[in-house]
Amino acid sequence: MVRQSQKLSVNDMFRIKWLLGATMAIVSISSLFNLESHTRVQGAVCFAVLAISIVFPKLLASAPPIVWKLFAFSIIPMVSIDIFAKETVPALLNLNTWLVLYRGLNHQKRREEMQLVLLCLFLLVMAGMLTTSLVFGVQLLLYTGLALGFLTMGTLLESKSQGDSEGIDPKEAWKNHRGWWQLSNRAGYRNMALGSAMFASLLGIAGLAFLFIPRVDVEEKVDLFKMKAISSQTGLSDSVQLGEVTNIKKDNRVALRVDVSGRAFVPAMPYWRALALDEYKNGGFSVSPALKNMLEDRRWTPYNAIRFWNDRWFADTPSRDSMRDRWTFFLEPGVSKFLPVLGSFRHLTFSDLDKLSIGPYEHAFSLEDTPSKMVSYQLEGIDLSPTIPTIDTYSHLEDFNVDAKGRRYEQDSSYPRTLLELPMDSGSREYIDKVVREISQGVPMTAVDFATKATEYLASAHGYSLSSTLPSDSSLEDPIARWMNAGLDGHCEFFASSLVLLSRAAGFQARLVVGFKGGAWNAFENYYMVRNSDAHAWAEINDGQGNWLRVDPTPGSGLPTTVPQTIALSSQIAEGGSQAYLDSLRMLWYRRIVNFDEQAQKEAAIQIKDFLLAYMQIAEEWTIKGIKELYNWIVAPWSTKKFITTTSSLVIAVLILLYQRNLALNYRELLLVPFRRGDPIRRKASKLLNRSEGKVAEVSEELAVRRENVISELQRLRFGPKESWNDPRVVFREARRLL
Amino acid sequence: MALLVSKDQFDWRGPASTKEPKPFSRRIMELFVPPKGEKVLPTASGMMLILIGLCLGLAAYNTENNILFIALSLLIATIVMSGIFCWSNIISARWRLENSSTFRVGETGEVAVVVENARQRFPLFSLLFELGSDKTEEFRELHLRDSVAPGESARLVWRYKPERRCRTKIRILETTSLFPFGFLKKHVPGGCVSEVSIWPARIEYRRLKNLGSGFGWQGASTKARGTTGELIGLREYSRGDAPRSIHWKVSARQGALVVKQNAAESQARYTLHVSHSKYLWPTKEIFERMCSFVVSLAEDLFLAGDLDYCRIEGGPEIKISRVSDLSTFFDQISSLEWDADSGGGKSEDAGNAVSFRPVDGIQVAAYLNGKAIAKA
Repeated sequence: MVRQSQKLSVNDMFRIKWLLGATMAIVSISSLFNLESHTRVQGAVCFAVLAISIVFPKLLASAPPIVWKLFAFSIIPMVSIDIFAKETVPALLNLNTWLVLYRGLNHQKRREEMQLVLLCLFLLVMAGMLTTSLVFGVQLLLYTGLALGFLTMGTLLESKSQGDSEGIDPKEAWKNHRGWWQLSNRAGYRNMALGSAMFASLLGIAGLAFLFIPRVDVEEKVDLFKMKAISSQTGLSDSVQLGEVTNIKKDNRVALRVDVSGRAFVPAMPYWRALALDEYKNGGFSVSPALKNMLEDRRWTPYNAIRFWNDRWFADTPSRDSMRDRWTFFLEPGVSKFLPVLGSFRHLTFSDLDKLSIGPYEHAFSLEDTPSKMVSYQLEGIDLSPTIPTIDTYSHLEDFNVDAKGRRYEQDSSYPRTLLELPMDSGSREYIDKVVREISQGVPMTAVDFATKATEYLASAHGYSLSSTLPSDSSLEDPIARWMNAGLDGHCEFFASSLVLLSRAAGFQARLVVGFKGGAWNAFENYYMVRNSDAHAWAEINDGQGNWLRVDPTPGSGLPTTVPQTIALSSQIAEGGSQAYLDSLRMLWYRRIVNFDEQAQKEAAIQIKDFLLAYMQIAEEWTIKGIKELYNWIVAPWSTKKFITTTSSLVIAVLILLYQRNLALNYRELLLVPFRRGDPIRRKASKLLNRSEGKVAEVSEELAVRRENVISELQRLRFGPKESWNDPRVVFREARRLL
Repeated sequence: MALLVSKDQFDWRGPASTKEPKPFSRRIMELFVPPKGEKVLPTASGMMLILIGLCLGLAAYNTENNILFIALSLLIATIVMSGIFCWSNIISARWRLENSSTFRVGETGEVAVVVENARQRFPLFSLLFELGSDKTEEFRELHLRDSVAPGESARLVWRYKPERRCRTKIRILETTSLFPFGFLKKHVPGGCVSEVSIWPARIEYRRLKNLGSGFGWQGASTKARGTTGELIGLREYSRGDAPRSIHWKVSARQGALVVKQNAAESQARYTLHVSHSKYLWPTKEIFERMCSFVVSLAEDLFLAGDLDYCRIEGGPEIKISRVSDLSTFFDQISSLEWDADSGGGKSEDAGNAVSFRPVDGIQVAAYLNGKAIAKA
């Protein structure tokens, strides 16, 4: 039967293809909005132009060709300005954006379609590499679906137009456009199902490919598309002024995610330590120049960390010790260049150790710049005690201070004197001394005792408040001294700074530490969500016994102790809700996709193998169990009830079988239907006709006539139009009887 | 049996043309080891994609960036999908060639490819059939414009207008599937061949003599019984006589139906003799002109009922009684070679033999008994 189908016309297909292309361009351009450090003007302009074009496509069609030529030429100066004015990556992004816009609006030829697909992919991948955000994953999924549809529609249009899709007149194609809704109604459900199946298959294959593409560890990694973040949170930088940490608290976004594995107990209140600041000046703490130089000096890398910490290891792969606990940190872009850690540890895994520098004295781990994309690292063997071991200053670094040519490096000796720095003005110093005397009552104390007393003192004199206005008429110049003197409420920075100054005045080395405190436990994926609102400042005091003791004088934080305060991981109070769920998706993305490496690949392979083996074992057990049960059931004594039940079940089964045989599709056909081709009724008729071939039997005239009739009915089912068919079941039944 | 007839009638070709569907395992095997003649090749876009995939892979391995690995996975999946879908699209297709056995130079004929979707669930998309004529070296690509629903078929037509006479084979050279993305192309041998004759075009010619009525240049009435000549007698009506032959006046007088008996008109019936000697026809152009002239004249004579025999030099005489006889003669003309080794152009002038000779080096004349009777 030859069919003249009523389907989408060439112009309809042209319009649908254009819509898919333009939407694909919009999706890829929207990825630019994930880049916080990239100007969004170009992206917004292109997005708007594409959106308007989709809503009013006829406007586009009426544009004369000169418009496209001018647009193409105008890209050159626009990008030239970018190249001269900016870095390579922003210029590349802008060039790609303009090209995507140009091609998204104007694509007709097959090569132009391909250009659009690749430009969009390139833009999306660039943005993805710069952010590694979950939104990129969603955008990539959208892009994939649209690209599939776009390419398929291109192929179909090529066929529909008899290989002349380039000759379609756009004006003519848009002339009868009556809106997208009308066009979408004409897409058949079968095509939609096929498209969905294709999309699902593609994702499945892509997933398998991602899982099984062999990963290798390369020594010299190339850093493609590196882009600086706008700036880090100043509260987590190497120079912190009063109030800057508290400013971060206003932001409720997640700054850090921490995946915990292999540990049953976690700190009751985790302190995610980013940086210790030793130098004090007029209310602000900063890293002293000596330590800052160390952080910026490339001599202080993880490769020579063994000089300071002989029990620590820095590597780009995890250790082989499977018994160790592992804490995987995912630091969001733009938070800080200092990697938050819980405390002392045995092993740090970071993919690019060349980019990491260490500050052994302040126990800090710094990247070159604040990252513009998510950074992950892993710690093993974390010590949960609230102390960090100190390092003897320069005592064992003599050979380290000499370069390859024997020249001696200039050594800044300001550290560790900075750990005892007090306010410059004598009034403030006197006031602080007075407070110290009040706390110690003239009794010599250990650092821990003093910290405890000082914490109690501050808690009794001040309350907690996020905002605090210092009195301007005080005789004290130093803002911390003024705050203490005024008895005001204040935030963590006032308390921590006060404690540092009091400790120093009491003769103990002390420093301010910035980072995060606490965090919510995500029950969906079991990890810590540390938000910017958890930003915190606390103090560390040298106990004189080789440790820096954490002291958090902010009210409600408890008194300092050297004993680790832990709770069972299972007893964590979890955060639920939709936001936590969405965040768990992001974590899943980080864990399974972004951080998928050689080790993860091996683990995945082992998991799959174990899974299959486990299921095979279960299947085997079930089979053996089933056979045994059947055997026991058969050999067990047969009662009347059992006999009747069994017999009636068998009869019912046989009846069902017989009924099945009377259907147009018998049971075998029903089972084999996915593997057959063509119309099943025609196929069955053909089979019966084949069976009747060559059968010659002496039959009565009446029977011969009936046979002829049934053969002609079978032939009608086999070859005739469906409208002329009699009931196939009746025909087949008759055929089985007579042939 | 009907089934056998149908098998003969439809000469299906293509992956789904076998009587029994291939086992699934064999199909899967064929995905990796394609049958002879089948191949999957990347298109220009596909090559570009593969190249970009290589670059992405290089970048991914050097950066160990999983975003690049994702993009690489997607590209790999796209290429794999492209291969699987273009294979699965064509695997359930079968096709056959439908065309008339004869064409005529300058006249549009129809060569059709009927393609059927033997699948049960999903439509058939975007097949490309490459058709060609061997002798004339004409080629045409036919695209499957619309999807074909399961169990349905579509007819793709090539409006073929041949440019020179010959006997040629029209065949489906190749069938390709570009579906869905156009990155990979699955090639399957077309398999269908149809031998056709392309008759020479009709040309205008001028009759130089016209003796008597009809087409004939010669002829007279005979006393043999016929239907159109003069009245030679009457007889009783018998069953089957034409009503127009009833002589109504006589029938009325005699009270019974009486029919007229007419004499038959003897018409001169001609024999066309065609020589294809190079010695007779100095140039190829005039030889082709002669061929066209012969078929035009033969056609006209046949329509007038004046053609008795046709003969090509060196071949048997063909008695022209039916259209099929004339077609046979035309088929011979269509494959007539301009031949140096044929009889030397000696014509037979006996009886009503019409022969052909070049005139003035550019024209062709038909001669009857030594006299030119028509010129083209």
